[in-house]
Amino acid sequence: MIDSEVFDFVERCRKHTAAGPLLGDLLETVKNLGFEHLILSGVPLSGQKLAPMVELNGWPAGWFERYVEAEHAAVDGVCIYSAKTLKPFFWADVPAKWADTDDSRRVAGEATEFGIASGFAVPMLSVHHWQSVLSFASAAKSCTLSPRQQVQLVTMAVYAGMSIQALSDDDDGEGLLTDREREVLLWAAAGKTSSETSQILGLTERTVKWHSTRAREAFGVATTTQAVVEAVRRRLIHP
Amino acid sequence: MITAHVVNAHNKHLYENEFDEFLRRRHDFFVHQKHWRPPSPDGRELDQFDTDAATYLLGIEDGRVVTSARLIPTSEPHMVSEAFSHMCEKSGVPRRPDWAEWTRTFVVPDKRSTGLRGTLTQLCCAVMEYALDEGLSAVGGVQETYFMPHHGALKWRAEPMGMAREENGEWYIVAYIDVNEAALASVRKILGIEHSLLVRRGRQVPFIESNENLQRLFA
Repeated sequence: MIDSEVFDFVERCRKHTAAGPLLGDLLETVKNLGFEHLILSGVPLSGQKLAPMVELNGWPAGWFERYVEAEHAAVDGVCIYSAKTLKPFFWADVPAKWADTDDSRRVAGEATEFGIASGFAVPMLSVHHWQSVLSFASAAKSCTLSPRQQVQLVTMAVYAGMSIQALSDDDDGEGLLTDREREVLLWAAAGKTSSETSQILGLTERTVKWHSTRAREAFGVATTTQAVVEAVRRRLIHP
Repeated sequence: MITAHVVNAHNKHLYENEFDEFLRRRHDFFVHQKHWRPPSPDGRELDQFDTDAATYLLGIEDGRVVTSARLIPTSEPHMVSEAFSHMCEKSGVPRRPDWAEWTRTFVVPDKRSTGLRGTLTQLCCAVMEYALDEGLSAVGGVQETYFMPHHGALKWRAEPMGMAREENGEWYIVAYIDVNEAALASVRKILGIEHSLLVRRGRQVPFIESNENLQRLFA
């Protein structure tokens, strides 16, 4: 692959106005480097669901569904390591601690049935999640990239990541919570129980609980503690 | 929300304490956290680009310097021209008085957040406002690739001068961000503000012209 093809991709990147065409373009371009599949996603931390965090899904038909259904993200060494490093890496270089567990090897084994045997991952900042990763997959038993090809791939990954952030909704959750829901979470963050919050706000305890439930639903989380964490992370409350 | 004080060779005397605090925060960040620079015995970090050609934006909140930016006309010696010219294989090293190199940005640890309305975005807004005020066309320089999606999130356009590269175990790219009204409008919209973040005290000199004056001075 020659450098000008990379810069052409960068140029096209900014013209894409939707994720679909960007994904198609990127898939087509990285074929030149031996990658047939890719995924760009927020990195799920323990307990977080992968599916809502995915921004570009270029995985083979069936594999994504299988991965989500079996909750592979929690044990897959590549996915776990993606949350722990800021630097681009070959899947093969994921430290043994995460890659050599029985579960992780099982995920890798299953992936080969879908034509995914090796890959290269580029972690990036995300404004919505802990961080994002753009992971490129190859059917080759071990994927090799020359230093120049690595440079080309990282450059394209970075611009794809920038474009996706530009396309994604810039309201970082504003409007997600009502003022009342925010207030209830703020008091929860201060260690108040529903009953105490109800006295502070002059509401019934049932109403307070209802607001907490709505806040949990807004973030798709199970507990009020998680909702507080999410609200702080998105800067919707400032405890 | 920060206020961004414009500090340069002409009004620096008004900011003695703040500037010293800025150099100490730089030392914390670039020496102790990033390990980009060797420790300095006085606990202040300065480099060869801290000259009278530099203009600083000091982001101050609750009386503390919480973030910063250093802007240098690329017509002067700057980090890309002196140390990263090999990373400009596509477009060459920019050398234009209306293109500013943006370096030495940190955010103090307790003001870092993953959200988009934080201190870093406020600083970006101040830089864009200043650049637009001063008639600049682009701001940028060598940047960690990891953070590039932040520009995307601000709906900013960043032109690469060359490919990303790995240097000392970190990945960098030289890229310049277009300065225009739309870029300022989008970052203000994200922050939910319409007001200026800049504070200008003391003698003010235009970024572009001040550079020409200096050249005349040293000619």
